[in-house]
Amino acid sequence: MQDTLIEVLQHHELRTGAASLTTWATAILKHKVADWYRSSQRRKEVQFDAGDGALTDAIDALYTPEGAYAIPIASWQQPENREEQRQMMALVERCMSHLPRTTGRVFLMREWLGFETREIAERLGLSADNCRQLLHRARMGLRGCVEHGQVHGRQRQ
Amino acid sequence: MSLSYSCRQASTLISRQQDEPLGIADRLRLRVHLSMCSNCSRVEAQLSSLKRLARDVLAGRTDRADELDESDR
Repeated sequence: MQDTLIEVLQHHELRTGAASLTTWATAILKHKVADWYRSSQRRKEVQFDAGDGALTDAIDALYTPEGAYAIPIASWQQPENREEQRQMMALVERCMSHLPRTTGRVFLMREWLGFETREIAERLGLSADNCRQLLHRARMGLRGCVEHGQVHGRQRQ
Repeated sequence: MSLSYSCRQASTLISRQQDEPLGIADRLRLRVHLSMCSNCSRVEAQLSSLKRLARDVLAGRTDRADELDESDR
């Protein structure tokens, strides 16, 4: 198994370089993880991240008590070149890794593994509504993190 | 059916429509709200680009960056 892997890695690297090797390895890993979640005996019961204070506070702080945005939302600048696109992707990656545990897991199952909300809920022993709520929190959390990172990134330049 | 929807409620629908088709009432509410609310329209645009970015990051894709690079030349 190891020999095969090393051989594949060497040849693959020679032929196509590291970037597509990552894509290739990621695709294999992705199928393994999806299979693991889908296997019938696998039902992972998780804790609903409702108690995550920092993310809840950050989202609450966006709104007035009436549910309007407390501060006007500014448009994001689109990346204009390869370097800016790379920075943006690195920022999104960093922000994803900071999501609370279950929130991040649900987000990955949706956006990486491509599971439907109902399937995620079933696999993790959550209600569909809890699952939608976690996806919403994940996205709003990422939004805030990326916005914060962009602003601070510019200040440093 | 009330058409007045808070931005906070709108954001839950913006997220939800990325995962599943909304019912007719929610779709209408959201469309009416977005047509009048620039903040929520920007949030919708941001969450769409985040979805694309997250999927690219998770798929280990750099080709979008490469496309941009091509257009620089």
